[in-house]
Amino acid sequence: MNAYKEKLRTRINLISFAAAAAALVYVVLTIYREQLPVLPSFIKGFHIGAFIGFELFAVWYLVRCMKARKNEAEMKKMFIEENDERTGLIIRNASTLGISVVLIGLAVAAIISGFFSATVFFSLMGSLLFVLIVFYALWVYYASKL
Amino acid sequence: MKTRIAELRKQHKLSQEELGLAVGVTRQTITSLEVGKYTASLVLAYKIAKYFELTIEEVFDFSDMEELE
Repeated sequence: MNAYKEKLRTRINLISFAAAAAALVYVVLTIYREQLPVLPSFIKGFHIGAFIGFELFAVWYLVRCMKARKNEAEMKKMFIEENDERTGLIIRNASTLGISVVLIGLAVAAIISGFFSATVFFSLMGSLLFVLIVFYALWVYYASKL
Repeated sequence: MKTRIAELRKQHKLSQEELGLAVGVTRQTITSLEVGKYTASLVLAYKIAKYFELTIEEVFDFSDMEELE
């Protein structure tokens, strides 16, 4: 459990850093908003929502990790939840099916969009290529690791 | 896969949560094992059998697999 305790400490530091960095970036972008392109209100709302959501999640997760580090029983429970083999299998199965659906969906959407808009077509093709590259890179990584 | 986990757990007066904690899995995993929806890994099967001081074959029923051979 000591190794996991250390892992939690690293996680707490990383999440604190990410939350502080996100807040800093958001504040800087808000200060210089007038120099940035004018965006539709929906996008501004999305930015605010995403930022608040991330910060709330970070605080919630930080509190959870800190509490677990102080309480051995809580830490063991958290460790079990994270390392449960059935949960791992569920995630693997969902990911395998999910990536297939995403790849097929993107490919079909890219083909259909090609008849209507070049911008959408290239955006979707770019996304498809990115997903394929990430998938292949991870495949090669795990093939050499396992 | 059929198992004797539920029966052994009751004999030892253990809850699913307690057995899960002892072998390092969640209560839901123990439930799935007991109803035969999930097949344990070799490591988990070993941990469960060791916990009850039995062999893996005494806890897990491999007859379905033997029929396939």
